[in-house]
Amino acid sequence: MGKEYGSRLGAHGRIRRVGKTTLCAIMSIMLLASNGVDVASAAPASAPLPHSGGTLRLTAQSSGGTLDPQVAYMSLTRQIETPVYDTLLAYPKFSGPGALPVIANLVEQVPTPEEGGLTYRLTLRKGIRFSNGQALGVEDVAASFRRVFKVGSPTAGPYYSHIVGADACLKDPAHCTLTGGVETDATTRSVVFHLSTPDPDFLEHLAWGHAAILPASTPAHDMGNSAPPGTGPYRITAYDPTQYLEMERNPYFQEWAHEAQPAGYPDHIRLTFGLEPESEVTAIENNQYDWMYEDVPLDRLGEVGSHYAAQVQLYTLLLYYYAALNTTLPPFNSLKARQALNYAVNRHAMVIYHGGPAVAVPLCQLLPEGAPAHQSSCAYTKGASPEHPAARWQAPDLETARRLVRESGTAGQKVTIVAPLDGRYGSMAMELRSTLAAIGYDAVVRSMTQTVQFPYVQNSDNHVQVALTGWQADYPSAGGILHTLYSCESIHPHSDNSLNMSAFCDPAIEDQMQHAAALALTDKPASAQAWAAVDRALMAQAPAVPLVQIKRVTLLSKRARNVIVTLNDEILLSQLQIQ
Amino acid sequence: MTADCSSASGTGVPVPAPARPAGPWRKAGRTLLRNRSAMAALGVLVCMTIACLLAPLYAHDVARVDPFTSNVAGSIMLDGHEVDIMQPNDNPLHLGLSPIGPTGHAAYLLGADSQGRDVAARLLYGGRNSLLISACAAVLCLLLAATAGIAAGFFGGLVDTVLSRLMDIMWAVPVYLFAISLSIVTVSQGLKLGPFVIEADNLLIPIVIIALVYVPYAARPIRGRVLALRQAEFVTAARCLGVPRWRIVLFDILPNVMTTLVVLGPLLMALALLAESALSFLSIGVQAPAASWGTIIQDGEGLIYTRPMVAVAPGLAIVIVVLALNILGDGLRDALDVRDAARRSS
Amino acid sequence: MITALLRRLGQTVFVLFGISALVFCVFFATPGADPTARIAGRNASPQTMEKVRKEYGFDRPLPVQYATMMKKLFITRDLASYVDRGELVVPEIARAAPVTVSLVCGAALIWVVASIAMGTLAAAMKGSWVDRGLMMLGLIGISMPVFWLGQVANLITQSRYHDTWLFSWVPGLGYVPFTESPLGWFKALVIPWVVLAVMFIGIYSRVLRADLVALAGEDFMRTARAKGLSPTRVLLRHGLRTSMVTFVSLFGLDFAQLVGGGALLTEVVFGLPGVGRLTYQALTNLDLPLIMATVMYSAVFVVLANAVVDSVYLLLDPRVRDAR
Repeated sequence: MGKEYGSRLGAHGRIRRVGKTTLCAIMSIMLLASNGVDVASAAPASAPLPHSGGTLRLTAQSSGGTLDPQVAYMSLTRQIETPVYDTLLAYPKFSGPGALPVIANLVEQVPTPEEGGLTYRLTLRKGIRFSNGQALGVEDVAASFRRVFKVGSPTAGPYYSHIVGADACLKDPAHCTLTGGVETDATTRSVVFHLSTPDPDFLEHLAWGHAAILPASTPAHDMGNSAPPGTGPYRITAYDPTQYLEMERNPYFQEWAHEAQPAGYPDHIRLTFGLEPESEVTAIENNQYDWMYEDVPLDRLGEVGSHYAAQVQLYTLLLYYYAALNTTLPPFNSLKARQALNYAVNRHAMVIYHGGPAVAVPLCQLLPEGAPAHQSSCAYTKGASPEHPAARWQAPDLETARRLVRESGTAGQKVTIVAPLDGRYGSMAMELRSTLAAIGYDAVVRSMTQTVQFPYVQNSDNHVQVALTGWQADYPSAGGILHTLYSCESIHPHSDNSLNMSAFCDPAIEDQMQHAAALALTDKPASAQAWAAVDRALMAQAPAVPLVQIKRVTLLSKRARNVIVTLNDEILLSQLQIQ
Repeated sequence: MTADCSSASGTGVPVPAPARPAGPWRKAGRTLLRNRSAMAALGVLVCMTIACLLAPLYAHDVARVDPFTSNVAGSIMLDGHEVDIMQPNDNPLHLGLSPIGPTGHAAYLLGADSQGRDVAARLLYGGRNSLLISACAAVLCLLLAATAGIAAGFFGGLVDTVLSRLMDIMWAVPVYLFAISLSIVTVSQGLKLGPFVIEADNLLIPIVIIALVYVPYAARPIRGRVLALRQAEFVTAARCLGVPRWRIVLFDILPNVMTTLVVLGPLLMALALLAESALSFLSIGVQAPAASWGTIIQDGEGLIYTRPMVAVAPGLAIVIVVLALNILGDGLRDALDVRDAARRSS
Repeated sequence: MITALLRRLGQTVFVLFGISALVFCVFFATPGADPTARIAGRNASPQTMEKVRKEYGFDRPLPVQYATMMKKLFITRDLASYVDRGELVVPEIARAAPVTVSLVCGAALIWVVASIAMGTLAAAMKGSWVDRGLMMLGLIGISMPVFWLGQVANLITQSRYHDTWLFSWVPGLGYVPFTESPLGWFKALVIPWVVLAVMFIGIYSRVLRADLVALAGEDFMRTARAKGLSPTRVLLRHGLRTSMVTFVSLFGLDFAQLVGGGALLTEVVFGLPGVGRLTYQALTNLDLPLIMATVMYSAVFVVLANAVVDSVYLLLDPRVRDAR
């Protein structure tokens, strides 16, 4: 099957090269006529890197969703579009100790916050072109930020509402102007952001995928199946959401910052949808694909670990599972009941459900490992308490749990756990049910399909007592996780979008969060300490039961080399060498 | 058969009347009892039912396990050694764990599933739910299908059109969507139908759903048979004699449709056994941690590469039950067949 | 003749309307099924949710939404999925249909031929070990869940024995269009055909055998035997035709629902991009446009198949003809 696809792509390539000069001539005339940009000619082909070439074959089960980089919120789409689109700033494309703070990508330097974080000045690089030949200009930047609101990006509110004029844009997206928020100057190629209130994560938000810079002429609606042109080393050429996605090199790409957007090795990338994870593993073992999106299923871990150990990629993710306890409904409106469940839950069993200690670690706090400001502490294990937390989780403490349940007076109450249908969630839910039964509750589990369960458990109208769910952080940030999940502002009653599922609102902790956020602009280490303190304070109130943090276990083909894994971008697909 | 009475009687001595031949039901019963394979099948079914009813005894006293609590971090004693229920896989990366396989001892006879529970004990508990649900669903389905099929075939005209289109709708309806919807509606409180509240774990839900799903499947063949029978001579004869229609249906049509019903019954039970697992996957009917053969198969589908026994054991149980029912059904059909009896006696 | 056809057409429209209205109502009656939050995205602000609600018309009353959806589906044919926004559902189903038709027709051929052979053989040798053995084989087929069987087939053909001469010809999972390579198309579909057919062989052979056995006592069969015809000829030429009534009824129902997307687990486990897999994705994501389109597609086949089966009755059993 790989052979057939290869020949089809080859044919495309030949046709492209034949018509290239004609195409360029036409395009340059058009561009000259339209907006007076200097004549676009294809970038001179830089010397190909060693080991470059070939077709990278990827496989994923679910379909790709929308390709619009300002709307797409699926992890798969974001991974695919990392080498297709660029943001003003970016996370470094290498792993290691220096890889956390954002670096400059489309701009020359990372800006320093001015006026107490209300102004950011950036200078756009020269000589960058989109995949349609158009040169990148400041007008594209301004238009892209306006488009974030016009197109209804999910993060328009949470991430970009600090920009001046954003409120008007949220209220009336169709006529979004962002006047006063984004100032551009074409001669100096400068872009200035003005914020109405300081945003401690603004640099990270500039590096976030929804702030991808697209040509100003991109239509202001969800592009769906037709990917807009991007500045990255690849462009998407064909897409059928349930069958395949094809990418080819961007002919106008020239590497401007190797650490921010490196040139890619494969000539073509083809992603095929629809195979089950079990079948994906077998297909990679048979050398039919190079990479699978899903995790290796639990019953293949042994096989893969013994016979294909060199091809396994195991890496940390900011992904963890937890049970959100509704603090407005009995029995978990009682602090003691919440603490009791935290003491009683056997996190080692949860680790086993995900494949063992090599793949999962027990999580006893609300910030996962790898997040800035993570300080390992566990308040709810044998021999520990919120006042005297231990360093790591050791064992469940059923006696303390039962005592707390008795003291809370909630023993014998009926508890319903709402969990998604996915196999691992089912196992965790069963374990949680057994635990609740062991400490004195009458517990049942109700499962529903995951896409419905997630909005269902957020809506206060559904009166969900315990919601089993997971969280994958968008980018490494303590505030991004804690504020989004436990702040009073994240509670939206009667709405399907209310990420603070516990409905937890504590004014004292809210103040602590604001203080920690404000510190981020001036003193990052102190901010980290403050966020760690918020983490501990939140755990003392136990609005949720953190369970496990898991690593990705994925299988690559024998021929794939040069695997670079970063915390934010996972495996860099463009950097895989297959020849 | 006729005794040579004429020779013994001489002149006018009254001859004792021959014994009254047994009625049709007793004849059928005797035929069935003489059918050895049918009796063997009945025996197997009875044994299986008894075993499933004795599930608590097995779990408590023989295997000494709790088949409903997750036991992933636990261990059992085998031959004096303590063995973890979830065994870490032996590979350089220490990836993954596998539940123990069949031990051959009383505890975990068939091994453990992905939650560390004893498969054999769950198999027995599961048999209760599975057999109950599938038997009730099959019987209910046959009742409804027979009514609908006979009515549509016999009365024809508008009744036939309406019922047939109703069957079309029932067959084309996306049952899985309805099941998903029902599972979400019954999450916190049950489904309110007038004065009744049906909880999500009520076994009536899967019984009714499965029965309704297969009504068209059983009704259409019955309707086809009745369409042919309508013109048979004995029916015409009965009509000419002025026999009321309901008597014709009950005493002339129904016995001839019996074959189809008796054959479809066990087949429907097999289909119901498997359909029930799809519903319990959605938290309708048998709720985890309660077991049914279908749910055990589903647990086993994630263990095919390492512990195939988890899926094979309930599958085998289903095969045995379906086989036994089919043989019994054959025996029943042979015993009840009107035409066959005539042939046998002649 | 024409009036009968028109009547049937009218009934079909009624059936389609009934099912679509049912699906629509059930969807919106389900708590949590409101697509606004899922389309707007995780953590979307209330204003973004409002924008999505207006753009997709979720704030209009239900009958208006239903009418709009039906118009987009049947008249303008630009109904787009909620999940893969920009993907039109009607062309999507059109692309997936040939895959499902290939799968189902091949499987149907296998199960019809196999079950007729097994059923007649078992009926001819009623009571013998051949009869028992064949029935046992068939019933094992019914008792195996198709997803499990598919996984085991993959385990054997793709994983464990893939390199042996037995299964090295098996290509990677997926579909090869017939126009691209007939041999590839065939090789990729052989195992899915067998897996899909296995369940039905059991049912159909059993049903056929029972009907043949029951028919043995019928008058016309006795006449044929009395005429001195060989038992084979009696069975095959006279018995088979009339005993196919149940067989044909079930076949119509099964074929219709399979072609309409009922083979979803088979398609999922073998990676075939057919209508069944689309249905599976639509249900997993609760994607109403795609659900509606697949349900309508399936309903058309069901009604069509039943109409065809009704006319086939007339061919099979002359007594039915007289009844009309």
